[in-house]
Amino acid sequence: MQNLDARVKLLGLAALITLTIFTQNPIVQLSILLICYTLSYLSKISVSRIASRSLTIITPAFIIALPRAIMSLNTFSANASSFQPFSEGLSYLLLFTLRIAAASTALILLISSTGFSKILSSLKWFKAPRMLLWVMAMTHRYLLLLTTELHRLALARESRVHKDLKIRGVWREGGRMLATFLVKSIERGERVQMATLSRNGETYLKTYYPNLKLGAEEWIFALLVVTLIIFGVVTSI
Amino acid sequence: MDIRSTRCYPHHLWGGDQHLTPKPAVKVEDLQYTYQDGTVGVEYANLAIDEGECVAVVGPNGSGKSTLLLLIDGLLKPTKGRVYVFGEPMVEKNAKKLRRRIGLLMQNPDDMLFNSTVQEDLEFGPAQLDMPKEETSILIDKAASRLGLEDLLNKPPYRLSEGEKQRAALACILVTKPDLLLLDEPTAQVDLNSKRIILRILNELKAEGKSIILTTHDLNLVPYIANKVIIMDKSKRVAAKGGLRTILRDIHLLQTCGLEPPDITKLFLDLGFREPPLTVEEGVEALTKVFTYRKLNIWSEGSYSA
Repeated sequence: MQNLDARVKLLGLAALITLTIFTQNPIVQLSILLICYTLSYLSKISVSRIASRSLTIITPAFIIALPRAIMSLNTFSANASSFQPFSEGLSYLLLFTLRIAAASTALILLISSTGFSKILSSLKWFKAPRMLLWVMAMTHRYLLLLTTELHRLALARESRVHKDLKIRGVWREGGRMLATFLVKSIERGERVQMATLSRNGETYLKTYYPNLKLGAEEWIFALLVVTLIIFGVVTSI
Repeated sequence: MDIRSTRCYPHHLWGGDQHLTPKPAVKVEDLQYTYQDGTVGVEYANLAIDEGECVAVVGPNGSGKSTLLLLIDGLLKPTKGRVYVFGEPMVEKNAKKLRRRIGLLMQNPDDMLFNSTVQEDLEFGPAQLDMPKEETSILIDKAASRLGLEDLLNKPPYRLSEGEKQRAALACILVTKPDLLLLDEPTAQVDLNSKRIILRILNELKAEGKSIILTTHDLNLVPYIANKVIIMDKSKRVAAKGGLRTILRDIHLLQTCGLEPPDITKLFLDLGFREPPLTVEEGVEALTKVFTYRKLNIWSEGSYSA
């Protein structure tokens, strides 16, 4: 996956994500999931890491859809002669979770195997709006920087706190830390902006296009995606 | 001594007479900068740095060294005074054009490494300058091999050690082929190996005729790179400027400005040498001379001239 042309990869995985949205067939969803995990295994991307990352998306999705199944359970109690209402709710829950799992796994596979600048330049190649790209670039940059800043701040604080705080103390300390974090974020943002300007960065940041490479790997990947799409469309009709 | 007035040594001591008609790479006239909260960044600065020179701006922490570099790069707008870079005023309309010839290494390399991988950070500058991709690849390979970064290109910057980060940040500015390098504490917080690599690269750049302005508070380092020294003191003024030897041997001036001469210089001054060496290599040479010509009678005589 890492060696695939970023544009082919982006287009292929975006097509799979779209397929998860439009098809209700669990076999298609399972196939997408299976292919994503197989590709990550073949590309030596940690399968457990992909699973744990997608779990952070699947779990809230499962919780959101859970009431639907529970509400169906009540219907089942009222109508004991048939299993239909309950199984409908449960199957909805399972299918919804499965669709989220397939889409999120495809997305995580894309992120895990492609540098962010390559994703951006591929989107630029596909003529994505400039403003969207700029917002994506800035969000990504500052998210990374602020995460490291917060991590540093938390470590520095932890190294100096030698007593267990009560709830009020935790809130007070947390508030102070948040204030410091905000001030530091602004300062850091200013310095990074200066570094960007000093290297001739403008409002619209330029990136290099990756060279378009259409080798055997790209064709195999494209064939796999097209087969899945045809399978999905045929089973949905 | 009143250090509020700038002490200037004669021009021939600066080494400026190496060029018949030296062109100033940077000229700073009556420069003042005050931050928005009223804190004074630079109180008063006047200086001129010729093309191809390597100048060390030294001073204690908080003396305005970093602010001076930001002002030269046009990232801060002076409250008073003017900055000229390669003969043109550093004003907003010129800033972009002039910055194409300037490489600024910031004090904290983390501020310069804001992409997902080192490779992406190295590509950033050339991409903004619309350099062809092929040329950029060659420049990146060259910079990476010069700075020992070949194995780090695909790593995220936050996974690097401080020395590696500093080398990566230096590579980021080298790939844009600047004529003027502004280096803010280039060897601070780096290990010995990285320090050696950075010093080697800076000397190579000096030999290539690049103009270099670097800030530091480590005077042991200065003789290995610079040929001129500018001292900024706590009052955020240029307290003195002159040739390397003249400034670094003036222990009274250095101490007044809150600085110490290089360790080796201090040792030889304490031993009574009138012209103490500035580097360990010069020290060894001086001692060899003493041992050779005066045998082992060094302790029986009062003072010696190297």
